[in-house]
Amino acid sequence: MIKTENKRSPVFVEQGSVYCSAGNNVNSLWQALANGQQHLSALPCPAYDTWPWPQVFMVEEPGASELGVDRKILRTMEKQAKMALYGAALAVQQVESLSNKSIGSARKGLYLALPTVDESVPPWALLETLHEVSATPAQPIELSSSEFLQREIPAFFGLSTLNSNACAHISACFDLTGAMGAYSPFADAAFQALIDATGSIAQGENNLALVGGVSPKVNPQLLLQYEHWGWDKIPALTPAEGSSFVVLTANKNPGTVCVSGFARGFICNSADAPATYQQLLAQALTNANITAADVDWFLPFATGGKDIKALLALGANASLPILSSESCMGFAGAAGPLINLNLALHGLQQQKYLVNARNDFNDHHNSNAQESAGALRHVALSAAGPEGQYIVVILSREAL
Amino acid sequence: MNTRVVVTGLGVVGRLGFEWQDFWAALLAGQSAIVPWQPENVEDFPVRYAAPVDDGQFASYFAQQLAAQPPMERRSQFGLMAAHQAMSDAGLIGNTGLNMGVAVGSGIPERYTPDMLLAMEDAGPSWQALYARRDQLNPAMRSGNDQLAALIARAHGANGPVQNFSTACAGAAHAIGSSFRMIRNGEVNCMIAGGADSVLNLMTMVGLNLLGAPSVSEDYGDKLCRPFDEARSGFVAAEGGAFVVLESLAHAQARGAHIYGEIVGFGSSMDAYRVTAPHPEGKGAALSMHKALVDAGLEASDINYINAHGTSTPLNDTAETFAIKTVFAKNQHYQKLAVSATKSQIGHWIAAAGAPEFITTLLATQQGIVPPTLNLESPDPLCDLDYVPHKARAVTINAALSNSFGFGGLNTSLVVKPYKEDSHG
Repeated sequence: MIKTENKRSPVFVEQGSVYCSAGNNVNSLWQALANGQQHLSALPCPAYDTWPWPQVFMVEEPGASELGVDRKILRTMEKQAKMALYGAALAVQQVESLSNKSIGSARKGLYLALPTVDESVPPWALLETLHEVSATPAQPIELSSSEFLQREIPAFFGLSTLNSNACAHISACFDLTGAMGAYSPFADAAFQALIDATGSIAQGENNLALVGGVSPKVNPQLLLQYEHWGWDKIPALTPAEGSSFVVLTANKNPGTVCVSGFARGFICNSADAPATYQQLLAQALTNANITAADVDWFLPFATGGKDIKALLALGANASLPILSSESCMGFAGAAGPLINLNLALHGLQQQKYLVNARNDFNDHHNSNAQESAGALRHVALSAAGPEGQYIVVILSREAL
Repeated sequence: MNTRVVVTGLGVVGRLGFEWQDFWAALLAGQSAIVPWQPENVEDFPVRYAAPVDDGQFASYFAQQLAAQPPMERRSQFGLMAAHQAMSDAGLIGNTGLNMGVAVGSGIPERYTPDMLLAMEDAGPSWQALYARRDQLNPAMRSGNDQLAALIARAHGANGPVQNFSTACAGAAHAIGSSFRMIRNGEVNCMIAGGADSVLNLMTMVGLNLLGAPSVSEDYGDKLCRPFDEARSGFVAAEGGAFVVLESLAHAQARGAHIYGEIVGFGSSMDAYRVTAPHPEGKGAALSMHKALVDAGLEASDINYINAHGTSTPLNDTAETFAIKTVFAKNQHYQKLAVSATKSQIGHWIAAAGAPEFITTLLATQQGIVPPTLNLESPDPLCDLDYVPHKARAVTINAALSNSFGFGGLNTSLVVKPYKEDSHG
């Protein structure tokens, strides 16, 4: 139980940015979901002919001009670092408070959720060179040659393979020097970042925090990871790329939404999962001073819908609208929960929601979301990591 | 009033030993963990020294605990055993029903070169070949870099928050700082926090060497790691795992736990400067220390000892010195500080570095003795603090700082105090 949260200053959350295959703002994404549009691309590794998804949700790799950096800097960044920096740049463009000069850079923080970098190691180009120079590919003697490795491995490999490098780029580009954190590698990391950023504002350490998540890039190694986790057997988990950011502040504006509650925990044994979902949902609701019946919209992420029953068991409305965004727009890893958060903020502001599931989620994976108008006050969101992490966040709109 | 947070268990697994008592004794005796080193099967690698864990001793020491474990990364083995040691030290092995979480600092995933060689075919490398041979991939490398955090959580039945930090060399300190905050805020009663890392594999070391980060000097042998010395030439890579058990004071007292000390503040910051270099005046480092002091409710003059990040790189050590002189400028308090660099003895544990250094800071505070900075034979004129050269020294410590600064300007500082029953955090 979060005993002290209610004594602390409320923390408000502003819509930030969404960069995904459906576009580079939340309106585009919302419309795409509402219209049932799916922006799919061919899998970039067609050799995987047994892969269940020939098409995936990919984004263009941002270049130096979009990122506002010198081209030489690009050598230090893999695609996911570029997606992170681009998402941050979009947030800075779209959120006025990030440019607020009255808040010093030391009071502007950064909290990121980052996948690990899926570079081929040794780099693929080195393997190709190795093939050309080696007579015995199975046991290439050159891999024991320091001279060969120093020559063939890219000079900035040590940077591009370091996922936290994205923090350095974002902080330098936007002059953020406040308190920070970076978490990895899966979807739960996004809400770890959000919760710790909330704490930093609640206790006055930061006045403002940029909170972001980024997906891994779609590549052959990611697909091997999917198989490791068994995600290739789950239809809703089509790989997707993207990044998403929100901004947390201590400042209350008209119609502002606050992070009213949260809870996070770990499922040590799968048999404990239903009880853990229920316990953490109840804890988050208590912290938000609401009951399950007060929840107007639920956006679970990477839980396979398994926490829906728990929320219903706590007394949620049987017809509670639910959006499983990954069923519509793919599985964007650590970006996913923050994409959901931006959708929730949009819905709270516009008083409308998207729904593709009700309490029958386990039986139907509907990729078409329906838009409806509705009075929204409290939205619950969840995110899970494959190892057993489970986190719930409650957003509440100030009473009108 | 905030909940007070105390340290009740310590675990260190590294070149200097597998029990914290051995590690601490070696530090006080001025021992060095640094030995001649080359990557396996490579003879001409430019980096010649490191501080690797002795594989034979490690496997023998932890044979019983490791036998029951699934395949895992090398760093995860060190970390899981260090966490076990910390939990054992805290008297919490086998305790169930604790409201406990886990926070880990981890770095770049380990690289297993033979995995990618599965892609090699007569016609050249092929993803199709790799995919077809995926059953031969090393199972230890197939999960995410939160592998260690999850292993620890499952091993000890932790059902609270499980976090994995990726803030480069500040990772473990971030994990400890975040755990401190969670207990202080009342979110959990108990956390296992720390880090484990091993960059002593060929590909990661090539990447680091291409950036010019590790020393390639052959001039000083096992005295190669020389923080604040004029002849310093880069860090000396090391590996290991270190964890602490943090508890709310009430929880620790209720079960009669031994208390090593109290953690009272945590600060973090970013340089917003360059991805390849710290701010030359240590602006981010200074801000991190300042934030930690504010968080602790302490004045700069309350600090007596700083366990420096002290990497032995040309850029860090002058920047950190500058930062310390900035934060402790009032009444030139920096002249009264004892500052030492544990990396001079154990090398650089990279993402895990903050954990053994936090433990060092805590023990120094508890016992009133500061381990030395080794090999400081000719101090850099720009590094003009009291770095406790060569020999451990008795110092009365009311409060101490432990600094950890990550690549790209990601900074953390932790503040500890000796435990006193009647003090207020």
